Amino acid sequence: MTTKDTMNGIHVENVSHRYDGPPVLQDMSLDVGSREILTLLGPSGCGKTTMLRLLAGLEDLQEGRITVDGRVLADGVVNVPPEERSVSLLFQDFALFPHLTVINNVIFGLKGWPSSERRARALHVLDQVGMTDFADVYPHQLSGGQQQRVALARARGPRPRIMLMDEPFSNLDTTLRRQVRDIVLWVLQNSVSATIMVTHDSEEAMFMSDRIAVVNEGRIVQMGTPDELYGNPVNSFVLGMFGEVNRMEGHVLAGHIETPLGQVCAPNLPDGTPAEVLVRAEGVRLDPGSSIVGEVMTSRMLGRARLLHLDLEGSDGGPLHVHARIRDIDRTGIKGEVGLSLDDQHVFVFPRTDVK
Amino acid sequence: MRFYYGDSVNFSAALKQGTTTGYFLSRGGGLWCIAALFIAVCVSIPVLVVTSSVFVPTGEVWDHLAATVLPRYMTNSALLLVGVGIGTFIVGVGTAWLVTMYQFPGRALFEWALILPFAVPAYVLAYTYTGIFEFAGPVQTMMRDVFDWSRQDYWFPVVRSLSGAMWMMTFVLYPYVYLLSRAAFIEQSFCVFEVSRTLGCTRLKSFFSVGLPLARPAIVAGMTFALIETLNDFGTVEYFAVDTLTTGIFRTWIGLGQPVVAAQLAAILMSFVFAVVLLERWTRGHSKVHHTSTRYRTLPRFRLPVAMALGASLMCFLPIFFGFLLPGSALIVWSIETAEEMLNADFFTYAFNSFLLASVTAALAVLIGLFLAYGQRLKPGFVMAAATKIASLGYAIPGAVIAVGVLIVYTTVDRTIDGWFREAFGISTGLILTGTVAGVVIAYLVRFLAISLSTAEAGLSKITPNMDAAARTLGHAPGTVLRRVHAPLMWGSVLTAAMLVFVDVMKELPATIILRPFNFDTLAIRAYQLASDERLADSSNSALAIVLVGIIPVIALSVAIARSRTGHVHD
Repeated sequence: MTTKDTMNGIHVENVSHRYDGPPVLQDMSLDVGSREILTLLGPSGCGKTTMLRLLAGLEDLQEGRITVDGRVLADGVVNVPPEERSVSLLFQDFALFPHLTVINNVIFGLKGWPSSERRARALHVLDQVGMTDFADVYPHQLSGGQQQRVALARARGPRPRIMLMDEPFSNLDTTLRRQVRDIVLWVLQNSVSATIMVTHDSEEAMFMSDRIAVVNEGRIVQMGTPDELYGNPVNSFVLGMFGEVNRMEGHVLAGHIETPLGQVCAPNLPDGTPAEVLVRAEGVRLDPGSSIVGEVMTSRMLGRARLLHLDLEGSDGGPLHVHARIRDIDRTGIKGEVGLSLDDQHVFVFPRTDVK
Repeated sequence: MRFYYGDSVNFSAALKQGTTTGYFLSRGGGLWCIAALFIAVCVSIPVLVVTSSVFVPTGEVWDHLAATVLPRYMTNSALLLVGVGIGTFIVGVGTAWLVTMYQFPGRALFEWALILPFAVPAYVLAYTYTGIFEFAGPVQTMMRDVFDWSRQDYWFPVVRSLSGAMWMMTFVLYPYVYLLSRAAFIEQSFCVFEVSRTLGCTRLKSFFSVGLPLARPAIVAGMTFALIETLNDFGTVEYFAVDTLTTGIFRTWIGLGQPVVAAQLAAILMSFVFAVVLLERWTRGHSKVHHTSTRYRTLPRFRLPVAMALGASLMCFLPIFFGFLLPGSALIVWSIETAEEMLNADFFTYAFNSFLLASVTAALAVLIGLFLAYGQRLKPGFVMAAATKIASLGYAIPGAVIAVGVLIVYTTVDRTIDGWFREAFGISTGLILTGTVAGVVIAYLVRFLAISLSTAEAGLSKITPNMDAAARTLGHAPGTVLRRVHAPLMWGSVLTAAMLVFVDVMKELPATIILRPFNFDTLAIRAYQLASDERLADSSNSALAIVLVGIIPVIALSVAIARSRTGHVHD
């Protein structure tokens, strides 16, 4: 999906940015094709929101270059104001104008459209999000989910080339969130915009995105499709962003590391390297034949899986607490000591960066 | 959830720097700050000058004052504070507790009617009560007629006394305490009051063990407002011949012609204000009261048994009666009686003057308030924060102090301008600030800027930075955003601010007396002068006009209270 060779879409080149103090963005480069959805995933304060503000033109670019469809929007000299960028924003607080009705909120964005077409266009985009019936209602009379759908319609109205979404679902409760993001995904896939979303929720990122850029401390740590990031995280930070992991430490000995959960392969690391072994909760399996045993402390049914809290003897002799996510959710009677083994595709070994 | 809050905060903080008017600011950011500082200086200099006057030696005059009247001034001011403090506490907290916790006849009516006395300035109440209850007034005359008594045969409370002044101010100032403690009682009710009941406390016991302590910051804040107004009062104590620091300032300035000593008295008066404010801070102390629940709902009110219910009704009725109904009716009756004689061309001149001062001040206060509020939003930093804080200090400073400060500072400015014009053009400008209405307006602004500023801030807080960002990215230039998003959303706040300042200017007396240009009288001045000449009935037209204007915001507030089901006062 990437469009590095064409002129279409968003091109961000070597952008760095700082307020007062340490840089919030360092040498960040991105490409997002039209029709593509890229997510910046990272903890709060990692600089992802600043990236959105730079793209929207709400912040003056200090270093680097931003072009859209071949046109320079900002390069430190040129700085196209937000109203001339053909950008739309979706916020977590919806930011609807409280003094305008739903349809007038949408029409507000249709500046430059022939006045005869505005109402029709507004009704059309409202229809896309299923909100035509609420056209003459004021925002405060709507639920959060409805407000975000109106905000989406308003953002889509002027057919922006860039769509920016800042944690668009975090103000919605779980059920609504599923519905709304479904609608958003559907609407975006039917548009030609290049979309950049910002979130700290990996599940949301994977649900929405063609590609994900994991951001930490102002830098892109890894960028790729959800499959690439989930299957081949470059370090423990990326791995940690995509679900719960059990962490153990050890030293490499002859291409292997001994852990309380058994021996783990570390073929590319020299002997004696201090390493961390990270095992996803879904990588710990029940194995009646295994000699490695753990004691079930708690067993909780989570819907798609069952989460076991297990106690093992750690490598230092102390207790080790391990989470295991198992598929066969019917096994309500699990208790006492169980045999355990590892699923290799959920086991990752990284050299430790905190010790020499 | 932590992530979400964290991000939301970051984003707002970041967005502050790039909002709509931020665009204007980036083209004149420095100018904005400089202008804000200029305003802060203009507003604070009079007060600073008064404070610094303490260090000017004045020798004999001061010694004389200190040896003779000063102790009396200070004692009376202090006693007045204590009396009004106790009075407003009992009436304000008592009625607030009754209307929030119990059901009794007329409760819903009392809930909003209890703030009606806000509309009556203390000095107007003083004039009316004197008119009704003095020796020659209708009440005593009737008593003498009915029982055939003469002067020695009966005792009657003396209206024009220190305790009389305490009563007057209690009756018009308790609504501050009522409003704030009522809001506090309602807010705390859901989370803790029910818990206290389930833990075995009776209603009354819960009031003392939970209700009162939790509402303490609100009650103290309400009393602080009431006490600051008490120190500000000039009309009542002057008319009742109670010598306080405020009347002392006038006597020393106008009677003795000693501006510096007057300023020193003003400084002492200000130290009283600071004592009150510090007391509030100190009482608040470390025990920050946080509301642990954000959900409010009306408590099921306890239905009082008949006798107690009637008692509760009476307790709520009396403050309204004494603070509003009685003086209001008296004013109406007298106004009608004297209408023919008093409603002449002069009256309308006074009304016009009042209206002129009030509207000019309201417009300026709103403009400056908006300017500072925007500045704070766009340039959030030490300079703007300090400028805003300083600009809103004046509300705590008594009008007489401000007037003295304005006169001292701006007379100097006037002289400088005059001298410069004489030298450059050979013409004299005279006292272009202090000799005209400009001086009064400056004093009003110093005193009332806090009102318009806080209202503008509240209005602006409703417009989130994200709305600005949304509007910009939807293709609208900063000017358009200001016109199409900010203006309609701010309009209500702007009107509210203008109304509040307007009404306060209409009522204002001490600063107006000192600073008004020669022969420029307002309704308040007229009421004061006629009352001073013992023409109480004749003063009623002007007083009634002030009360009628003053009642507008009170009604607006009442409607808001009556409407708010959860008990929240909507702005």
